[in-house]
Amino acid sequence: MIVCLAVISKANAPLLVRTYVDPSLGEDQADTTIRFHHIVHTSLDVVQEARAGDRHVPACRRWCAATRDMFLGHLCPMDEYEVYGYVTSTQVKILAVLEETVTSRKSELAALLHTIHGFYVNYQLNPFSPLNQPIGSERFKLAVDRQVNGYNADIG
Amino acid sequence: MASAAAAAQSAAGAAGAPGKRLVNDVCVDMLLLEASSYLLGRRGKPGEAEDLEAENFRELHHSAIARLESLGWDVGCRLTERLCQTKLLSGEPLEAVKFICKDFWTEVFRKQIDKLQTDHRGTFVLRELNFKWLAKYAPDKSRTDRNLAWFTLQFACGLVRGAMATLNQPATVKADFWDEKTDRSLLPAVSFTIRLKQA
Repeated sequence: MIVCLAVISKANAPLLVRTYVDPSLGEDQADTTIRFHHIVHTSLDVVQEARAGDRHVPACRRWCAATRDMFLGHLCPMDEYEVYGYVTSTQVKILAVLEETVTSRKSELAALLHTIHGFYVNYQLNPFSPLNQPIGSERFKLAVDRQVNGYNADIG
Repeated sequence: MASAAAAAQSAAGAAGAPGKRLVNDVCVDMLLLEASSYLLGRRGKPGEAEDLEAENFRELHHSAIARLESLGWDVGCRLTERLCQTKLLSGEPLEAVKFICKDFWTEVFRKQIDKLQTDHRGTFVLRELNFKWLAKYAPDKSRTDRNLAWFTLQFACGLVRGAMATLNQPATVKADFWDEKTDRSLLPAVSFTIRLKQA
């Protein structure tokens, strides 16, 4: 299941980080958030490597150029989690941190991240939403939460 | 001003939306005119034409020019985010410029740009032979007309700059329709010069 979903700007600043951890596990909410911030931050290096157009990266590692897909697939394992990534043409990154309980269904995850990309584009089309700043829109958060919870319910 | 940006954006953006909403060209023209007039602070002041004639128009109206340009930038950023939603770009500068010449221009003006030249060192010259937003201007006559046409053009400059910025190619964009050699207007032909900022 997805435990954290992050939208990162092209300058690598977090626009939105949502965590989906069961509060009944007794973990402090602030601790959890910080931990996932850390995981997401670390994974950005891998995204950077994976991204095409970066001349410092050997061609064999430019996954995106090879697959011609915005969905980067599995990026790296991180503690007990697995990180999956999605990069748009405008370098906005969407990262999903998964707790692998069952074999995750990749195509569904790709579709989910693609949908969230759509939400982001729609959010940006609103001229009143600030560019390259943390997303405050409740509507966007709600839409993302609904998608992720739907995915988690399907898997679980 | 935000509402002007909103309207201009839906004007430019809606045509390519999945729902195929279209916007009247005349409305866009009017809106652009009105935005120019508003920013130049000319509402209800018909007597003050001198400052538009001035040789140093660009210094005089510095802040208005910057604001119109930044409006264009805003629209360009948001629109590009939408237009390359399904298009994977490699991140090369040339590809970004081609994207603007083809996809972006088609979306905004329903045609591709006419000519693209580059020196392969970070400068691109885009020539548009029939620039729709200025097609009805005749700025040969006076300096005022010329200044106003140039002012209106700054919105398009901002659009291109915003699109480049969103595609991670920060650049400066200039546009002009004046042929320095013959000292004549080339309208409705307009050329845009994109110069990449070296990282």
